[in-house]
Parts: sequence; structure tokens; C-alpha cells
Amino acid sequence: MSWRNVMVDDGDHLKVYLDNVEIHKGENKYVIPLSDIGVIVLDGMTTSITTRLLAACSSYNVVLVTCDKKHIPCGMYIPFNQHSRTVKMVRKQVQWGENVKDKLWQKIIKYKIYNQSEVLYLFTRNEEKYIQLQNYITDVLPGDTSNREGHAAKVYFNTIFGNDFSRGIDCIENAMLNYGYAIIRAYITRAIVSYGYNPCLGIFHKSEYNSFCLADDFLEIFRPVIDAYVINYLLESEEEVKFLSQEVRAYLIGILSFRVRFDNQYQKISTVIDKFVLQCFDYLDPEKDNKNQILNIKIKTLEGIKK
Amino acid sequence: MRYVAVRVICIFDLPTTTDHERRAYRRFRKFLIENGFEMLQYSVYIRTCPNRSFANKFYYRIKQNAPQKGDIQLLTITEKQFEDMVHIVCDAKKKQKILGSENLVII
Repeated sequence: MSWRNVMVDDGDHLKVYLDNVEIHKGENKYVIPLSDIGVIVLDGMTTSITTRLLAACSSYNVVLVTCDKKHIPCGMYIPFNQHSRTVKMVRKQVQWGENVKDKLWQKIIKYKIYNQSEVLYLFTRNEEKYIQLQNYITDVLPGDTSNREGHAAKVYFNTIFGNDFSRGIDCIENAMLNYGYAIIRAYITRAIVSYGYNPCLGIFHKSEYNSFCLADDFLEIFRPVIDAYVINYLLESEEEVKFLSQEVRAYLIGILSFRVRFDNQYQKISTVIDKFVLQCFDYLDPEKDNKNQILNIKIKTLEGIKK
Repeated sequence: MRYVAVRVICIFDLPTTTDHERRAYRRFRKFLIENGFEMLQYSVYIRTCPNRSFANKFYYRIKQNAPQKGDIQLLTITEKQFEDMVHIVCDAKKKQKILGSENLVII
């Protein structure tokens, strides 16, 4: 059971000490059991790390995320081959039916727009746009062929951040969102490989340049939660947030222990990701006959986010 | 269920007169460290756990791996009780940073 996430900011040296990770920083030495850790985020350019630690991370299913000069996560080390029946699972994955994939995608987008509308109303109290988004939900077709996702995203971002905003521009909002998405994406990839599936065969995303299509598919439903988490920080902070300082980054990694409502319980987002990914695989599994069963994805109430 | 962090304290006294006993001691100590226990003092080791049910598994594991001779005692206290511990005399060299029970560790 992993319940800890570690952020190493300019550490000196990381190594393994009897199934623990030993982190040296200056004169201090910290020891954390590897079995407790979910994600290690390595920031700073001077940290050195041993091969043995990489091997130990693989066997304990720990994801290592590395960051670039601008502190944005740019790479991850994923433990492949820890599942006993990887080949069986990947064969299953190749056989997923197009219909089932389209239906699952439809459900994911419906809940994504639903969550977006909730976030939008929470922060702007704009009823007109809220209703507009709610109307999009009923129009989502299997496989989202009418691209309601794109339309909803445009309304959503422009209402919250203003009409000049675009996800492509270089600003602090985008930097924070990208950071949050990258952390959640790494955690989703960890969940996917731990169930023996391959993250590059997606259900909707098909780009041949992307190795994490499946993770990006599952990420969609969590995006509004990350958005709310980021907007809340921007509103609450007393000083203007200008760049990704250590405090901001620590807050963003803290999203993994943020609680959301799922299955009628408040649970940590890291637990929710594990459960949600497993539910999706059960739904997609050609051997399991539960296609009529409604996927119970309800990341509804964004409790803890105060306006 | 509320999230209540606890600390498991393992206190032991193991005989070290023969080679065989010393070997059993070394193996036990190594076993403790492998399972995430940290030394607080000689023969006093602690393990941070997110809740009590997580802590219970160490009771079972230690029972399975304990040497046959000697005394080994386990005690679970809450994070609050652990924080209230008072240092009377403290050797600065020995003082090691022991991490708290928060989910996010920033180093």
C-alpha cells in the first residue's frame, strides 16, 4: 500500500538502504520505506541517483518523475513487467471492441463536462454558461463524434480565465495546470501498468507520437478536479503567483492526497485513480459480461475547494 | 473512517553471547529496517503507519520473523503522543531527522 509521495528538491544523492530510499541533502539524511511510496518527483539538476534505486523502484512499483530546467515534469520512469500476466492483459487490450471503447469514451466525456460545469459554476456563478455546458452533456455521442468535448472546453476555459486565454500560451495558469496534469498522468500510468496493461494503446487518443494514449484517455475525467485545485490556489494566495516556486510545486504534488467524492465516499485522488482505472478495465474486458452495468464514475463534489 | 496516523514502537533485548545468537540478532535488526523501521535509540525502533490496520500487519510479520530467544515488545501510539515526546538530554550528533506522517514529503 503506497500512501506517501516524495518531492526531492535539489537533493544531493539518492540510494537504496535495505528496501528504503535514503535521501541525502546537505548534512541531513532521510530514510523512507519504498513500500510506502507512490511517486517520487525529482527536481533540481544536481541530484544523483543509483541504478540500484531505479531497480528497486521497479520492483516496488514506484514512479519516478523527473523535471526539466523550468521545473515542469518532463519524463517518468515506469515499472514495466511487474504484472505476472502482462502478455495476457495486452492481448485482451488489443481485442477491446470498438463499440465498447466508444461507449466508455462517451461516458468519460459526459462526466468530464459535468465536472467542468460544476467547477465553472463554483468559481464564476455564471448560470448561463453552466446551463450551456449541461446541455452539451446530453449531446455527447458514442466516441464523441460531434466533438462536444472541444466545444465544452472552449466555453469552460474562456469563462473562467477570460476570452484571451488559450491553453497554448505561456502563462502561470498554464504552467500550473500542466504541472498538475503531468503528476496525475504519471500516477494513472502507474495504475495502468500495475494492472498489466500497456499505456500506449488508447481508447480514443490515437496519436502515433504519444506513448501514453491510454493514460491521457483516463486523465480527461480528472482534469476539472486539477483545474479547480489550481484556480483555488490562484484565488487564495495573498501575493500574485508569478512562477512555479517550490511552494507552488509542493502544493501541486499535494493533489495526490486531495480528497474527492467517488462511490459516495470521500477518498484520496490516488485511491480514486486506482479504483477508476480498474473499473474501466472491467468494463472493457471482452470476457466480462457487464456491458449494461453503469460505470460508477462520480467525481462530483469538489469538497475542500472553498470559494 | 478518519485518517489517524500511528507509530509502532518495537523494543527488544536479544542475547548476544554466542555467534549463533549474534547472527539471529543481526538478521532481526535487518528485518526491521527492511520493513521500514527506523532506529530511535539502540534497541528501540519505530515505524510510521497511516492507520491502525496498517500497523497490525507488522505485529504479524514480526511474530513470524522473531528470534526464538530474547524479549521483543511492540507498542502502538498515536502520532500526537509521539510528537509530545520530550527530549531531556539530546546528543546533537545522534539526532536524526525522523519524518512526520504527512502524505507529501518535501525534501
